Amino acid sequence: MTSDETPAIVLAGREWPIPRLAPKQNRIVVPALLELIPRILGARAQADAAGETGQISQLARTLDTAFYDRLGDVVFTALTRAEPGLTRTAFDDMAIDTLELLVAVRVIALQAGLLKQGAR
Amino acid sequence: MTNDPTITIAGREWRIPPLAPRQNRVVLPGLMRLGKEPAERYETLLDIVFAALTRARPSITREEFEDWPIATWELVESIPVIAKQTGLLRSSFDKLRTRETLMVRQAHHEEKTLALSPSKGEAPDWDALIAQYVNFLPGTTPDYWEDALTAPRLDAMQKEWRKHPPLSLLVAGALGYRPRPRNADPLEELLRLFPNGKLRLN
Repeated sequence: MTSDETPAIVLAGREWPIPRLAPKQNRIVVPALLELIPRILGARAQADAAGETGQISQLARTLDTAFYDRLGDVVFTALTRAEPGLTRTAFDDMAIDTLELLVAVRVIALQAGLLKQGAR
Repeated sequence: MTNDPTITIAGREWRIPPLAPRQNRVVLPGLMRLGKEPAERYETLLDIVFAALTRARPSITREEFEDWPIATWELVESIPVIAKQTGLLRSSFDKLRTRETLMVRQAHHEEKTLALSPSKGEAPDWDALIAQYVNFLPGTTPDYWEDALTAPRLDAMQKEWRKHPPLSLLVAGALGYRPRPRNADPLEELLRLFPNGKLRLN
């Protein structure tokens, strides 16, 4: 959490605040999350069923170029809420770990208001 | 103090009075469109909620609305309230069907309908409805009805007109007036001009 209780995500080794998103961001973030989250959960279930553990086995079931690009759309758009000057080119050039992107999904989903406060 | 229900948007409560055609033109088709692709669904949610908010707060701009921290669940939870305030959908929002009471029967010809006779699942023809009101109530303007024709008022007027039809309707009925068909079949037009089938030459 940052000092004003705004949650943050870590990308390329730096903390980025993610305030509550507005329709300007959510029109991209919400439909993409509704697409991505079931795939992430499905991959986890498949890995569990196969008796495999660890994030790599889950990633292998999820990640393809389209998924990665969509994930990038979600995270980049969420970042622009607090950093409207950030360009996609600059974002695409950041040294971001794939796991950092995946971990960011939870925070972004909460800040998009996909879950009610009490349900968090 | 009003009894209007409220919705919560961006953490703040907003009053939603019964909607008028200015909002219903956006809200009703939007409600009928919900349930398509997620991206389209989100846009539709925004359109519906923004239109509904402008009923009590006409000065809100779409640009500022798009920048509010609106939780997705706030948009979703506001839909049943907005649907109820259209006055044209069942309050339980279980069936997107227009109310039977909207069927306006002509006083003398039960089989014919006036301007408003939406088939189930279709939004009313607001332009035709407003034209009808302006026609029946001289001195009022289309712009007035655009913001004044709420569903309860519409319901009350239609009930009253069923009991006491407007003068123009009574006169039209007494004179046997039939509107000229548009783009009609030439034969139909001839029959309208010469109803007894006889062509008289002077």
